[in-house]
Amino acid sequence: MTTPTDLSPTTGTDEEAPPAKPPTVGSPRVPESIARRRWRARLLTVSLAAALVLVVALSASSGTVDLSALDAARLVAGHLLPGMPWMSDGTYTPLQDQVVWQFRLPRALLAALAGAALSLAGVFIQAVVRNPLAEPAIIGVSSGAGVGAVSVVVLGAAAVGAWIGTAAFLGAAVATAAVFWVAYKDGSIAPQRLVLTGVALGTFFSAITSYLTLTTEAQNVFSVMFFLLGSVSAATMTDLIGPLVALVVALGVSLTTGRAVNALQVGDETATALGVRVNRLRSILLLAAALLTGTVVSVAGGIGFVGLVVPHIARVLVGSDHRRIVPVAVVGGALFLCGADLIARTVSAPAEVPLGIITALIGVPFFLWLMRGRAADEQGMAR
Amino acid sequence: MRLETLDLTLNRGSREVVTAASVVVEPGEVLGLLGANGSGKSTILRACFGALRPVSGQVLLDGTDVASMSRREVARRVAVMAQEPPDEFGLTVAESVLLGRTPHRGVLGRDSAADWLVVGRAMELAGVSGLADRPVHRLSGGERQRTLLARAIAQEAELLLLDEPTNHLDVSYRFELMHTVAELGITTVVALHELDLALAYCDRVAVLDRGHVVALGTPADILTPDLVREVFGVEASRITDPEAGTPHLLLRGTSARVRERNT
Repeated sequence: MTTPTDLSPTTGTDEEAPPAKPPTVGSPRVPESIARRRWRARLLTVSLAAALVLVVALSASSGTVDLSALDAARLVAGHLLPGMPWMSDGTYTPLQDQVVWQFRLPRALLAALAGAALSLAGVFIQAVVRNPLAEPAIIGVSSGAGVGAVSVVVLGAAAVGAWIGTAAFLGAAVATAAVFWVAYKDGSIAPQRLVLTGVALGTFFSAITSYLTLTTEAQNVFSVMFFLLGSVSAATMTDLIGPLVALVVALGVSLTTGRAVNALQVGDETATALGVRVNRLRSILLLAAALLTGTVVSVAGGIGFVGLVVPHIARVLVGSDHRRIVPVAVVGGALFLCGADLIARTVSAPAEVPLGIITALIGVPFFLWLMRGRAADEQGMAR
Repeated sequence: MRLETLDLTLNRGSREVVTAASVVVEPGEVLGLLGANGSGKSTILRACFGALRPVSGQVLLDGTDVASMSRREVARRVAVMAQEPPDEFGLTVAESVLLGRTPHRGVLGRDSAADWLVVGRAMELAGVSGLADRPVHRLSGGERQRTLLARAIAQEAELLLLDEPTNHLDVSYRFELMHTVAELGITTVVALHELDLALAYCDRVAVLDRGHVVALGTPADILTPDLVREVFGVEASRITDPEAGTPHLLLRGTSARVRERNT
């Protein structure tokens, strides 16, 4: 029988191997690096979630109508639980109640949901196309939604918010179908073809959007830009439903496909040999990503950057295993966007800074700092 | 496991690359697939794990047609070490070997103690236990190949398919790798370029020439100077190691026929 020591490297060109560890046959041992990353992933998920709760509370209490975080929490509790005394004894004015329950909370929650959903979509897309530059917008869904939304604005339709959302979702669905239809050939969705199809169709849709924007009346341009830049400022509780459903469905998908996705990122042939139905998995992940992106875009417009960078940050922090990346990316993305929105509406209050500016100003330096670290080298970013 | 290919005809695109190949590999046997580049070795291997559908003919695993099995069923019984080490973006060696457990996963895909036991043993057998925590993209070529072998072992399959596993390896790694494979005692089909390794480690060899199986038998019977000249276009002599008494092929260079063709 060959023992590991017989097989130690013998040539000068190879890196020196650490001394062989004693045989551990009979006792399962999780390698130290994996155990460490697992703990880090759990700790990160829990602490990011705690921070998220804090930021939502802070968000519900910050603004021109003065309230403490505790007041905000009590108002929220009063809406969720029956018979809370402070709801009926005049502790809070109707204005205070309204500002928390109808404006600030839905807004904070939508920011969190959008961040979570877009980050998860980014994780899926990067796995599907095995390309670190991939993000949700690369499959053309966002630009499809753009055409839908802008058409409604331009056609007048009294610019009812709900119609913009519906049209945007329809646009996203049409774009998804188009990308699938073109990228699917000879019984498979080749990653390269998918990326190129998505980018090409995205450009096509953007051209239509630009044309519609330029030819419409000046008064509509603001609505268009508002949508294209992405914003959660008009959020209502009903806006949360779509992204929430999508997020639950997509989390279910990621729970049951974790190992298969890990195999997929190594290569199609290898994944096939490991028993993964590659095309089926790729289609499921793509549909989930499209659903996540479509539902978010239809209520919050084109929020960029989150879906590209948060998955990378998660990967650098906890390694390449998707079962660790997903929880960190989802909770981290929620915290990131929720925090960014809080800053966006408070930093120069009463004026609002567009969300995309804040995500870039905070996110980019953090990401660049991480990327230059050792953990990023281990994730192959040094190549 | 007993592997059988029956009149296997395979296309790459619309081009026929393997014609009516019939080979039987008995349980526990190591079969070498030999042949020049483009002779159809990799194509046959791909058909053996169901990644390529035959135009006609069948691949039988213990009598069951591969085409009738699900991807996961096949992966539980057949492990593959592919030719090109893929780009293992950021995975550690242990994570890479753990991928071998993919076909054995439960619904939620959690790693069980049993998984880690198998992974630990596989890493020991392949000699990569000491590298468990290293990122795969930092390994040398030989270490990477051994990691891929460990993954294949972790799959706990009954049939091992190796596509030129010794490519890019230095001399000692080649012998070590083939030695490890032969010691596993699993039915193995290995596509090889080194005829000497086939002589040393294969129970039988199948020689492919432009998609046809032209010879099948023990390497000592098959690998004669005549066959080597015919199939590979190389002049060779058979010699016997004066110390070990084992047969070897001494390759002298391209045959006159090949030189003529190339000029």
